Amino acid sequence: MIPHALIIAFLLPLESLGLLFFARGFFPYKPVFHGYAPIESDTPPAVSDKVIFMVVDALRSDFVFSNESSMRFTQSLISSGNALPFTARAAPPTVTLPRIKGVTTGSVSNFLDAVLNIAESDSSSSLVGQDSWLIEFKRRHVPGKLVMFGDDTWLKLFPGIFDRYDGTSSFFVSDFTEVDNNVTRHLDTELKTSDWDVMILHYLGVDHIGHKGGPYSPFMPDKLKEMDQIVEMLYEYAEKAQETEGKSTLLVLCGDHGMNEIGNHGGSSAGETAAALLFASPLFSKLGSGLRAPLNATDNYEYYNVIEQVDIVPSISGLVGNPFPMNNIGVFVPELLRFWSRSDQIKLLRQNAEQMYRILKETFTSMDMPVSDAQGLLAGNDIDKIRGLWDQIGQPYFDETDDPVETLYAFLRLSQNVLSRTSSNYDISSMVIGLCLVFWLSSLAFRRALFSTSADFVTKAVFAVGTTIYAISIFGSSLVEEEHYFWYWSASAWLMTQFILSARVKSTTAGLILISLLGVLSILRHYHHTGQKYAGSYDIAQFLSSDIAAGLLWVLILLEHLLIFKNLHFYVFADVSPLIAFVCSFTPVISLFSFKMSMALEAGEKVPPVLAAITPTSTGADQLLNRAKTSFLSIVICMVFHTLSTVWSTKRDQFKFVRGAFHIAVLFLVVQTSSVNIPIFLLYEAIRSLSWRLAADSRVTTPLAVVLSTLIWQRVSFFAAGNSNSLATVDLSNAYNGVSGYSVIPVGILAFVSNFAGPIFFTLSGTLQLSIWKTSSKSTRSVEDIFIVDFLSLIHAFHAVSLLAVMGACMVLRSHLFIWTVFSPKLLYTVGWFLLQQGAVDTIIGLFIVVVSDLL
Amino acid sequence: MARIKSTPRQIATPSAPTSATAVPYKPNTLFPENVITSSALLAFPIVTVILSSLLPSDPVKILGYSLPAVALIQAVNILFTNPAPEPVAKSSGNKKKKQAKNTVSTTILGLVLSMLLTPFIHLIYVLFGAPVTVSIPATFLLSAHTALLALFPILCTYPLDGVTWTNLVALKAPVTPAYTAALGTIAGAWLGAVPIPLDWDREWQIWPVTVVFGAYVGNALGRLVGAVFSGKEKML
Repeated sequence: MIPHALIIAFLLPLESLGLLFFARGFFPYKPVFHGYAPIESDTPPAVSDKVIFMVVDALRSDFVFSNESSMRFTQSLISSGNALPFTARAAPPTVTLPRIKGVTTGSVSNFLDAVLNIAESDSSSSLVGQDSWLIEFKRRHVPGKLVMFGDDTWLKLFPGIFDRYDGTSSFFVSDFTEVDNNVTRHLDTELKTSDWDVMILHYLGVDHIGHKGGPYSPFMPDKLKEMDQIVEMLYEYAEKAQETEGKSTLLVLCGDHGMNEIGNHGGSSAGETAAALLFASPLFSKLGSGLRAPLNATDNYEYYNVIEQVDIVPSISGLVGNPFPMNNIGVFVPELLRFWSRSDQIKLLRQNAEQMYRILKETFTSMDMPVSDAQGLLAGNDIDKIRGLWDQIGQPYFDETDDPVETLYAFLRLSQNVLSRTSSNYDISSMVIGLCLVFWLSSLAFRRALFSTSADFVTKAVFAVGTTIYAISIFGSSLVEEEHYFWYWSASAWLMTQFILSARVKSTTAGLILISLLGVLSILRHYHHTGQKYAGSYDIAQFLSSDIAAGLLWVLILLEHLLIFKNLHFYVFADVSPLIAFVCSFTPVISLFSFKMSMALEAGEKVPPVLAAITPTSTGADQLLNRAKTSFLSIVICMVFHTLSTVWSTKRDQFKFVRGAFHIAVLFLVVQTSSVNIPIFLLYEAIRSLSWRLAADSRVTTPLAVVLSTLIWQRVSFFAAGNSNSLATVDLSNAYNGVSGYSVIPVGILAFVSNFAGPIFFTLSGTLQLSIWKTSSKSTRSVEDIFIVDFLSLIHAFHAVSLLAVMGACMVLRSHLFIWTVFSPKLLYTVGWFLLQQGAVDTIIGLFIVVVSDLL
Repeated sequence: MARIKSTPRQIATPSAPTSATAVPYKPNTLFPENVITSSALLAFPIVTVILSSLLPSDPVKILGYSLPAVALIQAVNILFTNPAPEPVAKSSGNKKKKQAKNTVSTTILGLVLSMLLTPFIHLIYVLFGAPVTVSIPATFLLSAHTALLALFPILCTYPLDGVTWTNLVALKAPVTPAYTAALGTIAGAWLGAVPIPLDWDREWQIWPVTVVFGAYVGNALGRLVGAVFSGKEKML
C-alpha cells in the first residue's frame, strides 16, 4: 500500500510537469508584430469621418437577415440600399475575447485566448503595443476621440485608450436587461455631444438569452427588437449628422460570433461561426446594392455574401482613410470598393497586399526559399502561387493590365487562407520533452496497474483493452467529437460482461440489477444529445424544458429534493429527536429549492404556477445571491453538525460519517446543477443504489470491478449532462452562485463542480462502494489498501494513458485541419480531467474519505 | 429427414447426453459433414454481400423482403445440420419417423418462437442504444434478423430450461456451430455500431446498416469457429 501511494505521489506531479512542458510548446503566444503600420503618404480619400461600432454578442446571421427575425428596421435598411449585409465567418474559438481581437487587429486568434476569456483577471491578453484600427485613430495627426460602452473585455484589451467608457461584466449570464440598459443609457448624451470619432457599443443581452434559453428562447424576439430600435436610433443620428455637421458616419453592426442550436458557442459548428455583419450609412444608397431583405431562413446560416470576420478591419480602416493595422490578414470587402475611382481602388488593394506581404515574409522567413517544416509543406504549393501573383503585382505596368483588381484579390485571398492556417509556431522541443516524460511515466503507471494490483483477470483484461481502444480512438477527430458514444458503448459492454459473470455464479439478483443498470444507461444516453453530428436533435432535456413538460420537470426536481431530504434525515440527523431532525434536514432542502426556483424564474424558464406561488419570489440579482449564500451556508452547517455528532457519538459505525457526508455532498452538487439537469440525479442515485447492492454480492463484484464501473459512470454522467469535447458546452451559468464579484478561485471551483457534478458524484459513490464491498466480502485487506492499491492505481493509469494519447494526437496531427477546433479543446478537457477530476477529486478527496472513515 | 438414414450411427453412439445441461453436437450423415458445413458457411457470406450492397438504398424494404429468405436458409441449415433436442426422459424408445417429425416440428417451433421473441430483442437493442422514437420499423426488422441468426438455431439445438440457458449466457455451454454463430452475431452487431458516429458521410452509415452487416459477418465467423472447434466440451 505505502509503495503504491508513494509511486502515485511521485508520478502525479511529474506527469503534470510533462503536461506543462507540452502545453508550453503547443499553446505558444502567437508571434505578432509589435509597433504600428507605416503612415501611407498617398491614401485614397476617406469616405466616413466617424464610426459607430455596435457589437451584439452572439448575433447569429439569421437573427438579422432571416424572415423569422424581428429586426424589421435593419432589414428595411438593407432593402432600401442603405446597408450592406454579410455573413461574417468567425474563426474558432468562438468566444468573445479572441473574436474582439480578431475584429480589431485583424489577426487570427490564438487558441489560448479561449482560456483567457474565462480567466477574466488575466492582463496578459491586453493589446497594448499591438496595432488595431482603434489605435490607428489615436495615431492620427489630431488623435481621435474614442468612447466605449458595454462588455468590459474591451477595457481589458485596450487599457487607457478610451476617453469615456462604462464597462459591464459579462459573466452574470442570467441578467438579460441590466447589461443592455447599462449601454443604452449613455446613448442620449453621447449622441448629443457627438464629439467622438469612434463609438463602440457592446450589447450582451442576446448572448445571455442564448446561454439560458437557446436561440428560440421566448425572450429573443423582444431583445432583437430592442437591438433593432437601437440601430434605428443610431442610423437616425447618422442621417442627422450628415445634414447638420456634414460628417458622414459609418455604422457597423456585427456579432462577435454566433451560437449553436442550444445557444452555446466556443466551437466551430455552422451556427457558432456565422456572425451577422452589416455596414450602414446614408452614403450607401448611391452604391445601389439592390439587395432584398429579409431572406428565407437557411440551415447553413449563410446569408448574402460570406466573408471572413477579420475582413471588417481593413474595410473600416479603408473607409476612414487610416492605414491597415500591422497584423491584419483581412481583405478589403469588394462591395465597398465602389466608393472610389478605379485608380484609388487599385491603390487601396495594393496597400492591403503590401501589408499582408510583410506578414508573409515574416512568417515564412524568406519567401524565396522553400520552407522546410511541416507548416511550410502544408502551404508549399500555395506559397509558389502567392509568389507568382506577387511578382505579377510588382510589374511596372500592372495597373494597366486587364484586371488588376482581380489579381490583387486572388493574391489577398490566397495569402489570407495560408496565413490563417499557419497561425502558430509550435515549440517542438518543449512538446517532445513533455511527451517523452508522460510516455515514460504513463507506461510505468499502466504496467503497475496491470501487474501490481489485486488479481482479477477479467476486469484487468477489460481495463487494458478498453484503455487501449480509448487511446487509439483519440486520434480520430470525429471520435473525439462523438466521444460520448465510446462511453455509452463500452458501458453497455461492461454491464454485459458483468451480466455474464453473474450468470457464471448463478446470481439472479445480480443479473436483474445489471439489466436495470442497462435501463438507466439507456435513459442517460438520451438525456442530452451531445457531440457534433446529432447535437441539438430532440432529447429528454429539450422535452423537459419545453413548456408542456414544465410540470413534469418540477415534479422530478421535487422528487430529487425529497430524496435528499430523506437521505439527510436518515444518514445525517438520525441520532437527534424526530422534530429537530425534520427541521434540520428540511432547511437545506427548502433553501436549495427556493434558490433553484428563483434562478429558473430569473432565467425565464417556465415554472408551474402552483410552485411559483409558494416560493417567496422577488427577483433580482441580489436576491439570487442571497439564496445561493443561504444554500451554501446550510450545507456548511450540516457538515459541521455531522462531523461533531460523529465525533461525539458513542456508537461506533465506521461508515456513518462518510455516508452522511456523501449525501451532504450531493446537496452541494445539486446546487451547482441547472434545473433541467437536476432530474439526472435521480438516475445517478438509482445507479448508486443498484451498484451498492451489487457490491454486496462479492462473487460478482471485485474491487477492480468497482474501479472500472466508477471510471465508466464518471464519463457517462459527464456526457449525459450535456458536456462534450467542444468548448461550446462549458456551462458557466452556475459558476457565480453566491459570488458577487469575479475572483478566480471560487468561480473556478464552482464552474468545475457544475460541469463535473456527475464524475464527482461517482468518485464519491465508488469510494463508498469499496468500503461496502470490504464489509460484505469480509476481506482482510483494509479499505485504504483497496483504495490505494486498486482504485487509485487503475484510475491514475487510465488518466495517464489518455493524457498521453491526447498529447500524442496533438503532436502527430499538429498540422491537421481540426487541430484548433477538435484536438486543442480535447487537450484542455483532458487537463481538466487529469488535474482536477483525477488529481484533486479522485486522489485527494477520495483519500480523505477513506482515511476519515477509518479514523472514526 | 436426415435422421432416417442416420439411425445405425444413432444406435451406436449413446444417445443420452454426456453432459446433463445440453445435447452435444452430433455429426450429420446424410451428406459428408464438411459439405454441409461448408455450404452453411458459404450461405451467409453471400447473404451478407447481397444485403450490405442493397441495404443503404432502403434498409426497411430490403430487410423486410429478405426476412423470409433468411428464415428459409436458416431452417434448411438447421434441418440438415442440427440434431433434434432429445428429451432426456424418453431418449431410448423413439421411432424413426417420429424422430424425423420431431426435427421438423422442432424447427417450426423454433422459428415461431424466435419470431415471437423479436420484440424482446428489439427491447435489448434499445437498451444498448438503438433509437427509441425514430426508425422503429428498421430496428424491429433488425431484431427479426437477429432472432433468425442467433436465437433460431439455438432454440432448435438446446432444450428450453433455465440451467441450459444460464450456462449459455455464462459462456459455459458446449461449443456447437449454432452457439458460436449466435455469439458471433451478438458480437458482430455490437461492433457494427462503431462506424455510425464517424463523420465519413457515407450512405451506409445510417441505422441499422452497419449493425446488420456486423451481425451477418459475425454469424458467419462464429459458424466457422464453431465448425472448427465443435465437440470441445466447454466454451470457457
